[in-house]
Amino acid sequence: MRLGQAVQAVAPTPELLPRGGARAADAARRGETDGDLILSFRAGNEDAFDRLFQRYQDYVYNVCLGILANPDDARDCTQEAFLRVYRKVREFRGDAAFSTWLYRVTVNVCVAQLRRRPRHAAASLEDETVREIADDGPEAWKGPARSAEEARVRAVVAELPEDYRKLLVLRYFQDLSYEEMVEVLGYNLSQLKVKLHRARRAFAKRWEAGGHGGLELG
Amino acid sequence: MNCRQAQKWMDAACDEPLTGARAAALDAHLAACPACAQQWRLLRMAEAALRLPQPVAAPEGMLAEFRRRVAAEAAQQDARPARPRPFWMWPAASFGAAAALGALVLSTGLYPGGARLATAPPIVPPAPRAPEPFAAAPGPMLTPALGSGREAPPARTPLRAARRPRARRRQRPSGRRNPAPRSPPPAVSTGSSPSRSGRPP
Repeated sequence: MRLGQAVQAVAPTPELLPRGGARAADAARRGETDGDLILSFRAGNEDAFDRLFQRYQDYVYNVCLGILANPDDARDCTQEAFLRVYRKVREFRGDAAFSTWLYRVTVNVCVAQLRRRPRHAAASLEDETVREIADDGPEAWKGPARSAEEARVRAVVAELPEDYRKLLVLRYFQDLSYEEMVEVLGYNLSQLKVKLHRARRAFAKRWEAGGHGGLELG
Repeated sequence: MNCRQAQKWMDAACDEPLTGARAAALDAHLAACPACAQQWRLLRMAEAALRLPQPVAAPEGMLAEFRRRVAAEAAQQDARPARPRPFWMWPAASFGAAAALGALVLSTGLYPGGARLATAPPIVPPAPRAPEPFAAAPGPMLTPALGSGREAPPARTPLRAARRPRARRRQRPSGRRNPAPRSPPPAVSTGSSPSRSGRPP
C-alpha cells in the first residue's frame, strides 16, 4: 500500500464529526453567530447564553469525556467549563473565536480535574462482556464490537500523561486542525507537531502492549 | 535514507500524506527495513484506532442543571454578608490611630518643642494661639521666623510653612544679610498696618 493510500484509509468519515456540529449548523442557518449571541447576552438576554450552551454542549462534553474517560467527571467538568465561560463572557474581547476560547477553558478545567484525581479509573467506559464479543471475529466488528473497541481506545488514551491526552483528544476525537490546536493549546506549530508525534507513538506503544495490535482499518 | 530520517517522514506522513520523491523514498526504505515497516504499521494502526471513538451526545438535562448552578451561585453571592475586616488589619488600624494621635499632640503644642516639629499633615486642625499684641492685624512682615523661640503660626501645608521665611528674606533690603533677631513688637499696637506698628515713629 502506498503512503497516500494508507493515510487516506484512516481519514475521518463525515459521520464521525461531533453531533454538536449539526446544532451549530442549524443555528448558523438561522443567522445567529456566536458573536450575535454574546452581544445579545451582554445586553441582558439570558436565553442567548442558553443557545450557546445548547450549541456547544456536545463539543465540550466530548472533550471532557475524551480527556477524563469518565462520564460523571465529564458531566461535572462540562458544567464547570460553561460556568467559567458564563462568568467571563462579558469580558470576552473576541480576539479568538468563541469556540476556541471555550475549548481552551474546557481543556484547562479537565487538566485541573486530572490533577485533583490523577489516576481516576477509566473502567466505566469499558465493559468486559462486550470485549468478549469483539473477539469473535471480523463479523462482530459493527455494533457492540465497535463500541468495545472505542472504549478500549478511550481507556488507553486515559492511561497517557495529561499532555498527550489533550493533544490526542483534540486532534482525533474532536478533529481540530493544527491551526485550531495552536490557538487552543498555546503551542507554536512545530512544538505542536513534535508533541503530537510523541503522543501518537506513546499511544501506539500502549495499544500494542495491550494486545490490540490486530486492529487494521482500511 | 536511514531509519532516523524514515521515522521523521513517518511522523510527517501522519500529519499529511507524503508525495513524490519523499513518498517513493520512504516506501523503498519500508520495503527494505522490517523494523521501520513494523513501526509504520503500528503508527497507522494507532491512527485508525484513535479515529474510532464516535462523539457522544451530552447527557439530557445539562442545560437545566447549568441554570440551577447559575441561580445557586447568584443566590449565594446575594446572601453573602459583608466581609469582616481580616485579623491582620487590626494592628495596622491601631498603628494608624496612634500615628494620628501623635500628630495631633505635636501640632497642638502639648509636646514641648512640638511647634518646631510641626510638619503635621493638613488634616490636623490649627492649634488655638494665645493672643499676641500684634495679633489684631498680623501681616507677613511680622510673622516670626521659625526657630525664633516663638511659636509659629499653623501653616496650611508643611511646604508652605517651609517656604514662607525664605520669601520674607527676599523682601528685606539689601546689605543686611544677617540681621539681628527682631525684637518683640511694642506692647501697644496702633492697630494700623503691621509694617508701621513694628517701627518707631
